[in-house]
Amino acid sequence: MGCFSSKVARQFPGHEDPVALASQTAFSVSEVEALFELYKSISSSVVDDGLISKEEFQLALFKNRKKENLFANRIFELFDVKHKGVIDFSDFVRSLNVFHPNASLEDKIDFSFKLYDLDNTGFIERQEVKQMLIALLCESEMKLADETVEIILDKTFLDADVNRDGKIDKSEWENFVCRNPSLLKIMTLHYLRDITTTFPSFVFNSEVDEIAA
Amino acid sequence: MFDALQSRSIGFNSHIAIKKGNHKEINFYDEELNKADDEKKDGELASTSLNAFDIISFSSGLNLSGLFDDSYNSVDDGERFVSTESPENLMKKVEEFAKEERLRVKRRKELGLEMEGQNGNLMISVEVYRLTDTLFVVEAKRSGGDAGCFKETWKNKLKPVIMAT
Repeated sequence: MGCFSSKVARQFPGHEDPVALASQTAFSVSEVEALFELYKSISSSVVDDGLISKEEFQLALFKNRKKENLFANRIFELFDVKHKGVIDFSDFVRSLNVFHPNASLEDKIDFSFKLYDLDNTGFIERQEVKQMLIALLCESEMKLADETVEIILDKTFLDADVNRDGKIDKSEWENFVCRNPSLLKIMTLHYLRDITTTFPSFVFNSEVDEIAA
Repeated sequence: MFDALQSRSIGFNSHIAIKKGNHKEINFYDEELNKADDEKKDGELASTSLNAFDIISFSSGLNLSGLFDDSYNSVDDGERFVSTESPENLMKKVEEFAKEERLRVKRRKELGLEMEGQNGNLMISVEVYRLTDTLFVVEAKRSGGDAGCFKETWKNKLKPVIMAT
């Protein structure tokens, strides 16, 4: 490895070799390098420490570093694979991989299940769905009576909770999502197909050249 | 890829992105999922309504576009609200609005349409979803064009028209 790699490793803790990341994800090496350009910009926006903090994530997503959102928090928690309170580059690439148009349906179903299982019990409980529904209503202009919220929850559980135990388990979720494929729309980011044009990484930065030399 | 896009009709969840540091515009389409969505909605209107997760999916926190697109701002790019009016009435109002404002209706489906005006600066898509027997959700999104144009037209003209009883 040339001196470029060790310099990057010092400035960006958790930085992994792009060739390794590419081989384990749906991204090509140049796409991983493009993601690194994006990562550099997000991770230096508040504190230049080579890591994405919750504030930096909020800033990138909402253009407002102080904006708290239940769902963005969940995404952040899931991206923070090692539970360190920050997202490193390897976490970033591996997590975004699930959102790639070519990622497996299984991975998307898995991620979305974990996303909605707020307390990580392995089940999506009715109370959790209610909490998320209310959180959504707060952030939107939609106003619903309490009674209506209960009707919607009843209908949803009637459809999804096949064994009537008041919670949705992983296989019920898989089944439900297959019958309602639009629920996985949030799990695909078409931007990822075009990432090398959006975030060009110049050839002289490329680690691939280092390895080839 | 672009030839295929031009020969296909535009899906409702198309999204025009202004890339960071670059002024080229690109359309992104939820190709397969959009098709499944349309089939579900058009084919089974009476029995299909939004479930809790459909509603939760509306959250801006679940839309990671902002990570890739500096100009994207979910707050300014669309809105949803609940209406007790029949979807047919709602759609009629939107059609009339398009006629009055001389907007070109680019695509129509039973409970939705996409319109364009002001030389492409204004692009709005409106869709109506069933929530319960008596409630519907109206969704208005900027499907392209200028964000300021959309915001102004939506807040000051189209939204009041749709919400008026």
